[in-house]
Amino acid sequence: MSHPSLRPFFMTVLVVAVVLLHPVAKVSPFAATAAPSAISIPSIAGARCAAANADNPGGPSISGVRVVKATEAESRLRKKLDGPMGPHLRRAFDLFERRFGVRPDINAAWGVTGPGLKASVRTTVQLLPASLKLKPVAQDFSFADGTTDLYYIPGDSETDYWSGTFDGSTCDSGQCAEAIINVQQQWSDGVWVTTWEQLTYTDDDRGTHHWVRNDGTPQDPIVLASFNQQNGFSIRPVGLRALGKYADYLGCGASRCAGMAAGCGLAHLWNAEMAWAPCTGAGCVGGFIACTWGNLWGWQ
Amino acid sequence: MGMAMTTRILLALTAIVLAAIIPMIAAGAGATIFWAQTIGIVTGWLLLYFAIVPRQTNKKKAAVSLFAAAAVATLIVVVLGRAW
Repeated sequence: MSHPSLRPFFMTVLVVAVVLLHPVAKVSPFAATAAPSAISIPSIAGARCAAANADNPGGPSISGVRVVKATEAESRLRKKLDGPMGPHLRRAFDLFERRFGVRPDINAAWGVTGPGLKASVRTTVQLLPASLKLKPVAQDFSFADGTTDLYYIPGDSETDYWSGTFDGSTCDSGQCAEAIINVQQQWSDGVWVTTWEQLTYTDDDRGTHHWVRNDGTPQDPIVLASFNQQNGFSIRPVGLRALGKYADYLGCGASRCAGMAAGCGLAHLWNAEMAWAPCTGAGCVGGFIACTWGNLWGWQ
Repeated sequence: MGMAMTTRILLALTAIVLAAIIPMIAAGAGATIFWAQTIGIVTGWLLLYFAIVPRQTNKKKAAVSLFAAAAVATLIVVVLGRAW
């Protein structure tokens, strides 16, 4: 049995719950309209990538491989940007921005890492909304050990369109190979039309750590990435992230406090029983707590 | 008759937790960041205020006053252009 003075609280909670539970379409540039079927990650070290990812539906997962996303992927990529391979990735982002008009967003990146990738130069990564699975298509990679990372850094994703940067690197006995591929695909007349450029930083017959840049054409046999998908889809795993916008947080909290102080002042004028100080204090506390959302943490 | 101190403390804690969680739920339901925060703030505010000041001669008027204050506060923040 509830105390009578609690009725307004319960009514408020009920009203808020009804408002919150009312279905509202979420508008996002990365909104999914269909589940992604499969994504072929481009091969590393300039090797060719399997295109027919539909050939291996439901294949076995690779052991020793871990999916990294959200803040972990972002942190790893930031370390990479600060490392010896950083200039390559920045250059690829610059080229991407120049070509496609947007810059790949490392905040939205995801990747796969682990020793299990070392033998999977041809790897298909299957993304499902509920779980992330890795499925090998072929295993003919010559690197015997070392670590391998594959990242996807989204540029944009809309219905029948996506663009982004793939970054693959592997190191073995001190030697590293890296391939960065900027890709754009558009669904047109029943096929994905691919535009891409590949920046390979690797050892080849022209010397060690040689930059190779190729611009893709539809006739080129190298298929770097392929979505076996005919509709829009989300290629950005959403997760709770620490956003770290402290200045925005303080501004938001202070604005809310000021608004509450004024609102409580007017309420006090109308109803003298409404004490201004506790009203403003409660509002400030609520404001600074709620302002953490979107500034210090949030879905991204 | 006022609420017991334990009830008030629980109410205040609930207010704080709801103020933190409700924006997340609201954002998940499609609300913008601004409105997600506003819903969280108003909910936390109402609960917290009554936890702090449980005695109200006219409880209905007190609740209406709080809602009015919330509306005015939100309006002020909106009119000020969401400066943050």
